[in-house]
Amino acid sequence: MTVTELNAEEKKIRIENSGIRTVIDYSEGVVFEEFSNLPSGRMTNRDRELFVIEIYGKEYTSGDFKIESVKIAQDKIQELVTLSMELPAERLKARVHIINDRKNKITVLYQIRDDYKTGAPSVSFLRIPLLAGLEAHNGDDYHYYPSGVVLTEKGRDVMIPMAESFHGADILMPLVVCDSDDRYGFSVQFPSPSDLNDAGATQNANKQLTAISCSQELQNHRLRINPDPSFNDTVELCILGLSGGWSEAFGDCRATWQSRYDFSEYDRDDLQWFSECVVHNFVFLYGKEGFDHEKQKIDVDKLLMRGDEFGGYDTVTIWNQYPRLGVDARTQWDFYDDFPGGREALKEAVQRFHDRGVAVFLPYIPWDRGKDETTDSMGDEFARVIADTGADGYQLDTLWDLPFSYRKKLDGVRTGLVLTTQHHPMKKHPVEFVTTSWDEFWSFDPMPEVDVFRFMCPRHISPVISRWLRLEDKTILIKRCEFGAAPIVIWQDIFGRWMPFSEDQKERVKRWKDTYLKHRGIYQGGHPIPLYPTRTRGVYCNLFADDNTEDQIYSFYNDNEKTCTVEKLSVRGIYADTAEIILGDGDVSLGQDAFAVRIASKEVLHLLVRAGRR
Amino acid sequence: MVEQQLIKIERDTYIYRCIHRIMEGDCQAEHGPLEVAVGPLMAQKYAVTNAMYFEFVKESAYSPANGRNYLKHWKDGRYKTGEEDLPVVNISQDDARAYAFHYGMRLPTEQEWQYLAAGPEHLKYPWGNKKEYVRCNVYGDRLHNVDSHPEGASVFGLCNMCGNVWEFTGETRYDGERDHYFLTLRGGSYYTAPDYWHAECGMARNDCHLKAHMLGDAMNRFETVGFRCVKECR
Repeated sequence: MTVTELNAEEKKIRIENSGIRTVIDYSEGVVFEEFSNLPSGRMTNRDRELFVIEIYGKEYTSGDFKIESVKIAQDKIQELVTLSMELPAERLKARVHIINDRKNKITVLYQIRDDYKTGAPSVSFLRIPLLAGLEAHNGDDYHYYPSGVVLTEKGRDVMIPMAESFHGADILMPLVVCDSDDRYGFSVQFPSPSDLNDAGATQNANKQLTAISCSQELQNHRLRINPDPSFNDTVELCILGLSGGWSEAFGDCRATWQSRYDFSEYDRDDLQWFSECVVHNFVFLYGKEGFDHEKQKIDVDKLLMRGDEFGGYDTVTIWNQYPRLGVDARTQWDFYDDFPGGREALKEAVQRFHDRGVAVFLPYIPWDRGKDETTDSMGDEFARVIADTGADGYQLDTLWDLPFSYRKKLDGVRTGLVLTTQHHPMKKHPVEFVTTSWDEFWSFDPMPEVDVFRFMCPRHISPVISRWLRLEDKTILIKRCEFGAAPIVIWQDIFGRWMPFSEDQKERVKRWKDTYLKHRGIYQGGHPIPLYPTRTRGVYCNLFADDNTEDQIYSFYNDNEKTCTVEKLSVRGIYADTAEIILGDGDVSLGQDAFAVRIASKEVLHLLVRAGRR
Repeated sequence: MVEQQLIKIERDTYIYRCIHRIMEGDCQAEHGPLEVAVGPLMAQKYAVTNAMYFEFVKESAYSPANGRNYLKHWKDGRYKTGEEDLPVVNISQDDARAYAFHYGMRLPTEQEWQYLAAGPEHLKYPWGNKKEYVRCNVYGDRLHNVDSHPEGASVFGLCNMCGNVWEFTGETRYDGERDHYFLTLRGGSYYTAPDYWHAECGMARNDCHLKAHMLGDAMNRFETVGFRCVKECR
């Protein structure tokens, strides 16, 4: 039942849906009298000012503003409350909108207008007390901060953001506050119209809220806002009333993000083959890993024999370009011709790989543009090389995007050609048509990192790669694949420096490939949950589920120095029929709707939980 | 037409140290510091020209087994008119060795090349320690004659050791088990590749080499790499 009621006499407005109830009291000043999770039955977040604004060296609360009007409206979908107020002395106006979706979300939208008292825009700041002290229950609440989702014991965020520099992606994590049972609470999403991290880029200051990484930053937040003489969005809080804890919050965030996208490219039958590939190889042809210098030809048999030690290569990326390019004016296209035997030799090699069931990627080097080349002419060459060699797609060096025309030109060659960017595509359109990318990381201590894009866009398959890891670190690389349930790129000859995997590591990759393929339907399900709460210090868990059977795999990593047991972990949303360890060593005992599992120190363990019937 | 000259280099020792410039993968060559002996030698004053190489081909009937890109700037087996004194390019290290062998010479080692360019004073550039762009052909749009920029000659009088064309040295590098073959080029060239990720261009210091992986004769013949020879003497 949804209710928005105005009590004009008491000057109170009650806004309610199945997830949230809030009451705004504007009898003396204006406050949220409460902001509560309705199903929890708890009354929380009492008597919070709507906002606090700083300008011209002074601080004003919403109570200092004069209320001009209170309006209520509704249509078939939403209910809307708008409080219009002004602060004439500073020539400021504010509109605070409360939007009820009549389901389980309430949006609080702030629009600040500054008519420039001095004739020029002044530095001003906004603070939202409701947000600063948002509580689900009491001091035992669990917080997942947008830029500090889950922290390790050393205080490092486990969730790796999409970008770390001047601009980011539109994948932004919510602020989630849950009670200690990981059930009731709130998830607050911060829609941002710009990917720029520059606080002045837009009037909407939400990007700053997505940078919050800890309780102190939340409590003390002070947003630099950019109002002008118009009512534009200043801060928007899309608040979900949770009944399913972090999993519901993440799922809702993903659904909201995905709803803007067209994933039809991912539905293409001809591109599905990449989802069946687990072990990828990157071969630097200037060494002998994949090239016979005496015969001057690609040594397909030798390379694939080496691949068998890893369980077999599913794809190889043939690399004959960087860092050789640039000594003279020959471009990457010339290098395909000047390669021993030219394009014909490459074509023969590709055919031999195909005969062995292995797909071939070629490199595309966007920065290697000849002086007479244009974007369009490069796209033509891009397609021609594939036509000439019969390769199956491109590894797109340094890129997270590509001119869309290149995709079309490839489609004109033949179907089934896959694009893999070196970095995750970050903007909407590239995400839509670049269907695979590397999950390349540069940390030497990446556990228990989680690649957020793998969980936000699970159909975008991203093999894990890290080029400079040495012997001990390569084991961590494999663990990262296992923990995040991702394919791997085997790259041993890094531009001339030979850095091989050990025999044990090869065996481990082989085991991982077997496990991954056996349970691919679960690992590639559409609704995985990263960092499923274990409530056990130093133990992290990712949850994968088959979209059809609802079978689940819980992927654990124990970051503690000792073996650790997760005493009672709730099974999410299904009746668990059986529980079986399918990767790693440990013990499991299954009870009613929960299980206990023991995991060795610094190890990954995968637990398969079969769904039964209730 | 430029006449080649040989310049006597007396025996000397110096502390050799070389740096490499490559974005990734490093260079598995020996970079020193090492005390090394050089000479006595006779060193060619100029890089070998098209005309000189033409004479060699005529005399020796040399023809590489794989001719792709070999002298690809020539037409009908001969250099173009007006290009006789440009340094010969589009030849491989083996093509250069064949020339040297024919005349009883060889390519200089890296240690020798660096001494020929830097002299006993360890100069950064052939003419001294300051970057002076007028003394060499860098950031240009074409090759210059091998006797151009006499003001940029090394202390021994060798011309264009910085800029114009990179130069082969005698070593073919091999890193053993992993079977990478690579060259180390010296001196820089006129050519400027457009991107940061390309091989570094501009004025290469005397103590700097560029690693270039080898992959077949066609790949290993460059439009910007030439050579000069040295000859043993007493």
